[in-house]
Amino acid sequence: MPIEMNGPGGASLSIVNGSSPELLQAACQLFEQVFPEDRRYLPYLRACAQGNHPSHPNTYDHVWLVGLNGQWVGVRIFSYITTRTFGHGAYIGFTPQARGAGLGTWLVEQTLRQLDDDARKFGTGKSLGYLVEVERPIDAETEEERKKDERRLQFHRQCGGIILPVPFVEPVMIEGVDYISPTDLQGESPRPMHLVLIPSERGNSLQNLNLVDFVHGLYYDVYRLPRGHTFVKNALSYLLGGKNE
Amino acid sequence: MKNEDLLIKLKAEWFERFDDILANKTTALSNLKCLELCEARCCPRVGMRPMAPEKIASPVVVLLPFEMEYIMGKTGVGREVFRIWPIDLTPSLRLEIGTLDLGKPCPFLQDDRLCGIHAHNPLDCRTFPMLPSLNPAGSMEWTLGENCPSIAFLSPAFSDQMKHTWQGLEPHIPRAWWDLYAFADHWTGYPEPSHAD
Repeated sequence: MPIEMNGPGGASLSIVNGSSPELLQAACQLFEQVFPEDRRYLPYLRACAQGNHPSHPNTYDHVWLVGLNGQWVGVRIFSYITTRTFGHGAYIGFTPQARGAGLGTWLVEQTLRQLDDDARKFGTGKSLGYLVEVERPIDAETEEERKKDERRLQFHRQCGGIILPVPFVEPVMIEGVDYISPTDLQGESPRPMHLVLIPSERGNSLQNLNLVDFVHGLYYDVYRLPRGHTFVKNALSYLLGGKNE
Repeated sequence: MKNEDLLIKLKAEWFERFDDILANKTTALSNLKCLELCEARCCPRVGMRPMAPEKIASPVVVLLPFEMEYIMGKTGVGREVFRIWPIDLTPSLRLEIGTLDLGKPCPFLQDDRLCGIHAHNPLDCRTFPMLPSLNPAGSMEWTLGENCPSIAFLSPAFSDQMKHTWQGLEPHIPRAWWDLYAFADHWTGYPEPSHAD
């Protein structure tokens, strides 16, 4: 199905790419507003807007903006993993006044449609959906933070998200990128997260999800961790036991 | 309370709950015709693998917290017969939940298709074809396993009692367990996961 560029309540979708510096600027500003704690990752957004940045050899990246009533209210960053049959949803966020109007659900639906398009483009059939890393409420240090984490997790559950039973740790950054240096990320450390599959219709119909493929796709192809990395071993420890690489 | 002490306390509480459930002799019969109609289609077993999806009633059993340990104590089987998934209650407190699937078939299913531990089998088995879930608002909901060929015979009195049992347990079940239970809808354990790329 084609992507619906117009959403609930008059919202509209704009695709951000290298040929639209004004949109890219707007996306960066909104990202800083919605994810102030992640402002150090702005170079990642800029890289994703290029679609096929050399530091992301295994992903085809997308940056979208959502406009409503003449203002930018939502930002979305996601990728299709060209070596697999699923994607990775890095960020989805809205300004507080735009929340609760069904825009998130609509944006998730459009993401799934785009990933189906990408899967066709890269000859991998239909997409299974995409993986997201979601903060665990049990790790929150304050009640306010816990409620925020719970709200985010609940949003993904309502979108049909399947919480995968793998102990997942989110790396600080994709390995070897040329747009962020380790010193830019000083103070950041890997965090335990829920790994959640937002399934497409095809993904939802599968009887046996391939957890190894999901874990390898995210760690090796998106984050570009070296083979046999501790995070991979830990994530698959319960599933593979002694057969883990 | 230290994690070790908390685990001991939780385990004791869950064991008591299982004892209470199994000691209840007033439970109505389900009326299901498991052997006549179903040939144990809801017991994860090797012979189930080549079945067409519409023939499989349920290929996975998810045990409640500490139910694996309870069954191990009652039957003498080891942990290796279960597939174990982790759920974290706190950053430093992890529960290990036992499951049975097509990669770890039910070790208690006998050649005659009878359950070898029927007197203390998992609540998930006892409850089938009723399937509990937690909706996004946090309330319990019930669906029926549509592929159970015996479903038309399910006794309403049995259903009511099972719902009552689960409602009593629900406040003690961690949210993460319900997430694992939902995941089991998309997991059969077969084919065995490969560790290669």
